[in-house]
Amino acid sequence: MRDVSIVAVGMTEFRHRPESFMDIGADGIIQALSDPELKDLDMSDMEAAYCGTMGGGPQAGQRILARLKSRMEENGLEGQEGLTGIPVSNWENQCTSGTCAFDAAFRDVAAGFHDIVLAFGAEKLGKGSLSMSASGGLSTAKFRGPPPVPMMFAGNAKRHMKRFGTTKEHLGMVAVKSKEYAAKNPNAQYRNRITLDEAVNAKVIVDPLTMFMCCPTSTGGAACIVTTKEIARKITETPVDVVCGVNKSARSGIGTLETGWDPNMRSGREAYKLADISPKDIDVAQVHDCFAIAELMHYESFGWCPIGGAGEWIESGGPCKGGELPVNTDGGLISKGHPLGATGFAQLYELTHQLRGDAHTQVPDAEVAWKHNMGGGAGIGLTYIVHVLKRGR
Amino acid sequence: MRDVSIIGVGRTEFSVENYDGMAAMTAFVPIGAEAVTKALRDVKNLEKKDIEVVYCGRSNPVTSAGQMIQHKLDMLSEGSFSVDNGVTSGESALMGAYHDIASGKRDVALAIGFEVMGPGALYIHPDGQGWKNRESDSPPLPRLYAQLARKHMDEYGTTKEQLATVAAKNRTNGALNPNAMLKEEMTADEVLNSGMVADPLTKSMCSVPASGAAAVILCESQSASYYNTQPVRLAGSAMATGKAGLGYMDSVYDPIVRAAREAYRMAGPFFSGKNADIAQVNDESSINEMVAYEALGFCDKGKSGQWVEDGVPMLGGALPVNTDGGMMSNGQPLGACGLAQIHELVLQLRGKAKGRQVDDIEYAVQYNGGSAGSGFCGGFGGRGFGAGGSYFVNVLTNQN
Repeated sequence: MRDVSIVAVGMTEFRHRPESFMDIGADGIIQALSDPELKDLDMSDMEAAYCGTMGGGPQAGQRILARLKSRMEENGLEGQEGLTGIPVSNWENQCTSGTCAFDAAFRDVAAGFHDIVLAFGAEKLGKGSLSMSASGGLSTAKFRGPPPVPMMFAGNAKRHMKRFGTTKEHLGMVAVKSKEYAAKNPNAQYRNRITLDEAVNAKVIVDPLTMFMCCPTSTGGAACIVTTKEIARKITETPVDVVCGVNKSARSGIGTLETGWDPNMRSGREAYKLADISPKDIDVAQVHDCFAIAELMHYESFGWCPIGGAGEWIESGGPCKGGELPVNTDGGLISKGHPLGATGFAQLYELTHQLRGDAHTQVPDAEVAWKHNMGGGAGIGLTYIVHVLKRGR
Repeated sequence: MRDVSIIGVGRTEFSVENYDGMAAMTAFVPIGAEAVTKALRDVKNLEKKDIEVVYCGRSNPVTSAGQMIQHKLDMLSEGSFSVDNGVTSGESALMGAYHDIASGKRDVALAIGFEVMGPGALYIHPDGQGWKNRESDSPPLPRLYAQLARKHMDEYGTTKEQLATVAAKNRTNGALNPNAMLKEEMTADEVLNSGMVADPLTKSMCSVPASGAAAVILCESQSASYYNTQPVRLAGSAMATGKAGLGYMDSVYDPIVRAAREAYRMAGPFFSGKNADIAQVNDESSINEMVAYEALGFCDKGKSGQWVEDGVPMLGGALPVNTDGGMMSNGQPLGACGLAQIHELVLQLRGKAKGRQVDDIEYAVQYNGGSAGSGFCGGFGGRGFGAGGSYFVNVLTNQN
């Protein structure tokens, strides 16, 4: 296997937007192609492309690439043809669709099939909560009763609170931290700081989760370019090395609360071994904070605090600015929004900037980053995928 | 990069079912599970838990499909990925598995391809966001292919009798395949008289959508014979998409030629279409198959009509094509049809294609491709017939 590095990242603002899915996908790619750290490469250098989306429809990648040139021209840029004939494939795994496309690009270069590969993702969602359309695809809806996805996580929040004494305030602290970070992130959907009181007493979505403890649906596109470690060092001063990637599914036959840990523990442990690191080596992290309880449980799954100890850890400031291990330093899904296919790339965007030293809320001297993305609800066997990234120079 | 071999294959008998809304969403689970179970039975010394990763190819965006099939078979726990590439979704899943093993990241992987499709023609939503089946007197894809057929006839003198002969070949081969959906032999005359769909394509010159699944288990070649005494090695594997801005005929051939060139180069520096002993090619309509003969280098450009008349792709000919009856006899479930082509070639390379076995074969070429879903939406005017889409060529061999 060869060593792989990221040489460009880009993302659109995440918010509700009227443009089409293809426009948004193209915009994400344009952002990556416009990364000032990317010298000497453009679309014509890409040798393969991987697209991640859940609701974008069949062969979404090819359709987005077909739109690239005209979208660039509309925005006053010199157009680059997207349909250049390279292999393009389309990856879906619910909330990890984007990460799975990135992972496929990583493995393509690691295996030696191609040297320079584009990975991108996009999602266009309406307002409301996630639901399935009649044909089994993704959509949003306003529910009269409790919306199903938050309900699954609220159930786990209650179980965690009962078993360990975790409080609603602990959940609120995740929300406060998120807004604190998002305040500095121009790409985030919601950036207004909130107090702990506001977080805890906001409108209830499904008890105990209030509005600020749940990630909003959103629309956005994002992308990255990966290449071999050797090529990266020739074309950029700020390569970010992809050390490893691990994907697990949840096992059946274990409890609902346990499923919040088990597959994350398994992917995390294998990632630690492959990267030859332990929690103390991680300088900055992104975890899948679809809901505040999920974030708390991820701290435990990855061994940053004991099982059940997440409340105490966030109270002590561990994942907060200036803490032992800052988590979701861009506001996470909770404040950025969660356009499924783009989310994994937005995580890469933030961690790449952290490792380059130019993030909005920079962790001093960040060298090793942990990226975790999870697809699906609590208690359902879906996708739990961890990548470890390292500063290239 | 390590060599990768196929150690197990399985598929269901394809069929046309009319699943209603909710049932359609989960109908794929038992079908996918059946294909995987058959593939697992096709290997020795391998248990479900030895599968390290699952790639699941399907065009209809059913979420978490791989995981649902794994759950049904009590195989959950290792990673699962879902991939779409229209008619080549199954091959894209295979590509994921192949990359993992070639890179050394995994040793044993499973690729599944499935599709649940209703009766009727394939209709693609104008902006590409999904498709459905609808009964139709004027189905859009055959109309598109009919236009291609007419241009091919104008430029190269191809005849409707030659188109009919290709279809009759496939339907007759299908009669020998227990897994085929349509098992009645047909003559070229019967094909010509089966009712015009879009001139010059008659009904029997076109395949129909169907539901079904196929599965392939792969491992690295060095240990493959531990799991199956007759492993089939992936000698070459490549994929291309259609470039924008090419003229009509160029855009039809170009992506197939490029994928073939790369796959052949991997198979060996002097490997060409002429080295194929047997092949499975996309036969969504007769003209698709004939163009494939030319683009893959089996015969010269424009000469597929004469090649057919010379009997080369027939079961007794020098390069039999679609010995399982092709998509015309098997039906065409988008996510499964490519892996079903591989299923047939694996059986043939093992000498296990009873009743339709081709003798003395070493190298097989599999080609499937199309751009329904991206290039065919009408919204890409001027981008060319074959723009976007995906075109896969795999070279398989029973040689080390």
